[in-house]
Amino acid sequence: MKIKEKLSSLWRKLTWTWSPQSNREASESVVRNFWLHWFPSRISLRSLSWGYSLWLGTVAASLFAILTITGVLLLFFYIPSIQNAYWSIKDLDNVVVFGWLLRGQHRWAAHLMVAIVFFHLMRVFFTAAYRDQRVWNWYIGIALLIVTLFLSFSGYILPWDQLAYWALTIGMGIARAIPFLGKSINFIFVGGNVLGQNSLLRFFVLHNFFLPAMMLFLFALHMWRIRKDGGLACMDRLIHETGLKEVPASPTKTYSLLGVTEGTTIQASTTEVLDESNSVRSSPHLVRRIALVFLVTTVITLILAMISPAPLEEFANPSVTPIPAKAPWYFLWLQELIAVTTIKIGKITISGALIGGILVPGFLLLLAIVWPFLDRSPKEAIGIWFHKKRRIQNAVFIFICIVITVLIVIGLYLRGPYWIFFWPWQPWPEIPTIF
Amino acid sequence: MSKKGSFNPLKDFYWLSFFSLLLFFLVITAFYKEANPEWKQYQQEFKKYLEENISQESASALELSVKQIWLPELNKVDRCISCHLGYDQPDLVRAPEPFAAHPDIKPHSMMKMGCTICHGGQGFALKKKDAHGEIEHWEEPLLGRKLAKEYGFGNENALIQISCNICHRRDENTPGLEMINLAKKLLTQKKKCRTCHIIDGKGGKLGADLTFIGDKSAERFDFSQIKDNLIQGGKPLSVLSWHFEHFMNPEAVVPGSKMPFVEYSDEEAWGLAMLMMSWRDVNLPIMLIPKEKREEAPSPEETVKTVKLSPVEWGKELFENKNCSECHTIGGGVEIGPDLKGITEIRDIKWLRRMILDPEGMEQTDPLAKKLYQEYEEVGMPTEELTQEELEAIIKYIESFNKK
Repeated sequence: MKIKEKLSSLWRKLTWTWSPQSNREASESVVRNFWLHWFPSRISLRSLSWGYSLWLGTVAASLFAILTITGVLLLFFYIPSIQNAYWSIKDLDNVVVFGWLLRGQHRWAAHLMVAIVFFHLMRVFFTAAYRDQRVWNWYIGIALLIVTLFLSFSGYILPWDQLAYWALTIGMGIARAIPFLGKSINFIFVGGNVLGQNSLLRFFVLHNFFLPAMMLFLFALHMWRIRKDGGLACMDRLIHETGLKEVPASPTKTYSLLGVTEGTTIQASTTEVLDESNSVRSSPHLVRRIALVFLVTTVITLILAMISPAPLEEFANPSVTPIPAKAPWYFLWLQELIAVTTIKIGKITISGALIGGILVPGFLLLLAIVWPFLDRSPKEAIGIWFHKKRRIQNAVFIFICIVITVLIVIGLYLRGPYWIFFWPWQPWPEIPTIF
Repeated sequence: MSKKGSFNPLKDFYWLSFFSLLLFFLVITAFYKEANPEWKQYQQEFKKYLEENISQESASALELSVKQIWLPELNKVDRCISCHLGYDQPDLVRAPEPFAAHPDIKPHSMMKMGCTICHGGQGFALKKKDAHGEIEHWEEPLLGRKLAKEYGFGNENALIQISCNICHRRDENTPGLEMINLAKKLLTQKKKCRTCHIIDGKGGKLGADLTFIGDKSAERFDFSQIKDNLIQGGKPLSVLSWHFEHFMNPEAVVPGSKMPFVEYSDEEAWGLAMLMMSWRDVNLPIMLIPKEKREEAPSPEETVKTVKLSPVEWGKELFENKNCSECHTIGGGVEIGPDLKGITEIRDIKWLRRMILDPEGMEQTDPLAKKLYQEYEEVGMPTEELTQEELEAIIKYIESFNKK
């Protein structure tokens, strides 16, 4: 009996630095624990539900965690040199213990992350969660999407196989089309005028230091702003429905973070709304659910990695163009746009790189930035999926998403050798080999 | 309170348990997969084979592990021997594949050369399909039975001759390379190739430079004329097939080609095609270059300096070495270019000198040279670099035929 008690007290010491004596103290535990302090002490059932947020942000963060863990392990084996990079990947695939699994999981998590981050953006748009005080988080989110895209693209370059080399060639071709700055941007990223060792090293440093650091910084900011903006947008609905007036925050309770933003705390007013009927304690309910999402994400990436390991094409060869040379799927819609807008009149070719590579994505980015200010839908629409009064803008947004998806599908499945269009039932011509 | 009822923490707990269990099984599967690679099965089989046919000691001496030949100079790792386990044990000559001993190939050393340098395939890989290069994205398949069958060769090792000749390019005759030897013989006997093609820096400019033709990638060959025939005939759509078809009938492959039609037998054309594939620019470590070929043959100039030749004899040497004899005879009749017998009497000597030194310039500016160019089917004369002494020696040599 005594041993059992001792063991249980030891267990408590290991798992709890302090154990709560009341509900109030349990709520305070969130503030006391470093790992939990960024959660609210209570979480509304709406925010916790599967259906409202689809937990896409948590999935994206989980994927980033998986990418960081597998990525650090891969760093022990990867050699950032154009002579050896390819062979170090071959070794990972063939002889390194679990190398194939690490690489497979890293690759799948990276592809999924691009998709999930975009789905997250779609969710935020459809629930009008980008308005008023949430504009800044909408911008941080867009920045996170861009960082995700560049992280994925820079990782694409590292194996230095044909896929990498030609994706970089296409990518830099687009960069060169940027008016005025194109040549300098190309020079900086390529590390000269010709793709080679410098380019690989630059993308290696971007992929392993600058972009992840930016991601972590923006992620922290993103999380912090969620709290300061009053939680998920569905919280606004709750306030609206319960008819509670916002309690003016205490003028003495102010915050500031490195001068980035400051004000009186908004959270003070929302906590008034949460009670036993519509919320639960974050610890353990929110923590458990986040653990569940992370676990499911891990399992899915593992299954995908085991079913379909990461491919590796031929060693990068500047004199052999793969037929066809395709950008990674998330940039394929741009490549397709470039191909469509490249016009040949007689002997003169007008490159579509400016339209497809710069103007269209630039316009979409600009639209995303100004949209919160152009949106005239009522406040009641915030925090509700497909609100009636947002029908037109939702339709336009869906239309843009469909166009992008269709262009990606065309580029991925219907473009054969020399970027010629083939229907799925038309066989591609056989490509000659050496032997 | 009804809303509160919709949240059931137990449900989350069940899902958490379910996925934890799933993760557990996935990890077990991954470990199982990692612990049972294909090569290990071969090694266990080999162990059994040794026990039953050779001895208990040799079986217990076999350690189950990845085995490889590492060649830093070649930037190669050949792990083929992880499954081809008896490669260096002469008493296993009659063992079944993949355990059989490698035939004696002295003076070659397998430890210094590895496997893929001759056999092709992917040395890094450890799965059969990957290692034998029967996958996408590996351009050097195993030059073995399967490929030989596709091309219809009776000898399953026929294609290895291509690899041999990468090092043995400068040999006149290499034991064991029947088809390549045959092709080399054709080259020295008829040696008209240099009329139009540069090989090792010498030759005409009408055709492609063939020095490293084996490195030319598949996409740079025009298959439009033969593609359908090859596919219908069930033959591989490959560069090797292209070379074969092209030697059999150049014009059928490249319409308007000026390459003369020569009637080759199938074997001759395959030999020539393989020879083309072997002309590759591979950085060989010095230890792999055949010993007798490490020194360059002396140039004509060096020969003149060491063996005092008369101007006529030197001219003869030059006439052959500077490719004149590829197109011209002296008293042997018209070939690709005119017969040069008596040329020094019918042409102005100054015109002749200019024509020999700068034929390409003359063909564009000089009316007589232009006329000759038209007359001889627009096959231009390549410019050879000649010193004044060499030019005079060649003219002396041509003159020496006048009196005969």
